[in-house]
Amino acid sequence: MKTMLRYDFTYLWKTFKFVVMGGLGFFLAGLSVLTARFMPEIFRLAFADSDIIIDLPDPTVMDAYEQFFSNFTDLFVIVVIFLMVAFFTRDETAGHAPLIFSKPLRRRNYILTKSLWMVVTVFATLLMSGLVFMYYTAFLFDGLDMARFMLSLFALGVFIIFLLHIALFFTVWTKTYLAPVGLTFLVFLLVFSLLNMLQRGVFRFFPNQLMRYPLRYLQGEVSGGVLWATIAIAIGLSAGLLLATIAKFEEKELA
Amino acid sequence: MSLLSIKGLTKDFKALRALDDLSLEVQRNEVYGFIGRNGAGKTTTINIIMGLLHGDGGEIYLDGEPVDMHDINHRRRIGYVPDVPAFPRYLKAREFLRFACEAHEIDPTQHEARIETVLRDVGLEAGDRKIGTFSRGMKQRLAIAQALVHKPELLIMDEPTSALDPIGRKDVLDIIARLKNTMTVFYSTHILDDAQKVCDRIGLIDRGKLLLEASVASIMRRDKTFRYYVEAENDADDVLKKLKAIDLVREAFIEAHGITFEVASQEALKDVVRTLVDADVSMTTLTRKAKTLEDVFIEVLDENHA
Repeated sequence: MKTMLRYDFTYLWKTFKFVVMGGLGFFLAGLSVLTARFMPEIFRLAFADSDIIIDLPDPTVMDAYEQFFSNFTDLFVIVVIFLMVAFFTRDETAGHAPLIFSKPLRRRNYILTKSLWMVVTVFATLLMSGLVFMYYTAFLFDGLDMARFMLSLFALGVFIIFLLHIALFFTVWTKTYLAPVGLTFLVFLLVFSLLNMLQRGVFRFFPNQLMRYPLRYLQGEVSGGVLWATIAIAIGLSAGLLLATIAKFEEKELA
Repeated sequence: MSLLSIKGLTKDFKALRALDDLSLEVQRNEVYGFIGRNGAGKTTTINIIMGLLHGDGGEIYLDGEPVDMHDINHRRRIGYVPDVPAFPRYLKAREFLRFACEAHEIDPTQHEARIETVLRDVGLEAGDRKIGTFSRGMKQRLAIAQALVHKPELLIMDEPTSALDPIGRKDVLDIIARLKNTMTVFYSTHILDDAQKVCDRIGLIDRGKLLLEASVASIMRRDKTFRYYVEAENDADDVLKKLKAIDLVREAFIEAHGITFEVASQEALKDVVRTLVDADVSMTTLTRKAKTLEDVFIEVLDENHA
């Protein structure tokens, strides 16, 4: 396990994956606060020479939250899917697999390591981005609720991890990079969007809801209990996907 | 007891039978040449031994112990050189070798010494360079180094010379020659000349079946043909015409600057030479052409496809 942890860390470090994810998180976090704070001014400047009168209410901390979660559930998730599927499939697509798996390394550990680094990278990036966001928000807005924001951030992290475990599961069924990327986007854009229309009964606890619950929780529209239950279900399903991935990968032909 | 034993190995890729009841025995400390044309089943066999593919039937034994795809322990005793080794381009050679040391659970205090030794053994001086900058020959040397770093009992090499230029090929063959008697080498190739140079025994595979398994020496001893090469001051076409006119000559054809011909016996050669001299052929060279592994290969394939 230690060998694979170091091997994967070297890949993430030397191919600048940490830097790209960290940089993107930092950028989106800062951008979210600034966009929310200065949106009225931006609009006023944009329409300064026209007769249109722009009268927007003063932005609040809720606008900052909204910008943050909208940026992270759209742009950040898309970039992370591309980066992480490359991380999962690289050894096979680049032909490293025969050299790696001809050594006494357990396939189970190989998948566990990928999952572990994915969790660490996503949560570390979100934590850093959250800190950047809170720092600027505390300066520019009143009423920042750090505890609720951190729980929302955690819920977002769990959602991204769930989505990436779906991607990881797809990678063991194919031998290419594009197939799991395409299938994951299909789930993300189509299946989740359809499920998002269903807001009643058990559908309230489906992991796809974590796309919107973090913000709705901050807005007071979703209770802590529902959020925690949805988080728990997403973690459970991620664990199930991980076990299914390992079982499939144990039998996968790698040549 | 054999170090590696394969019994009745079968593998299908959909409708294609890649391995068909393949059985072979590799003795300890020998260089075993696994010979066959492209697509004969060599790489498939090796991939199953290494646990990269499933076999559909049959068994593999390493030192009498059955080899299972999910059992990683037998891989501690094997070093593997793939046909086209692909390394992470962002790593330095030394870093990949350190990864190999860790994967084989070698005592960390020994890593650097082991790395130095294998780099020296394979003649790779660019240990601190990124693998992405390596030539194909350098990658092949690194592939051998990473396969030797844990001092395996069995070294499996899948066509290690097929993609190399003549100098690279010679270097790899020199490495195999140096390893002789220090470990068992299972060496797959379709370059028969290479196999003849370094192998003790060969197994000839075609369409997933083992057609022949014998020592190189015994194959050469079985050479009962009397094939000769002659060069003369006369015109080669004229000499060929004269040779073909002699009843004792079975076959004759122009090759290089002379003519290769075959007779039934040593005695027959004397009569042929006498006839040529009487016909005013002034010979400058007359040598016996020993049968090569290539000749055996073609013969065996012809017999089996007849």
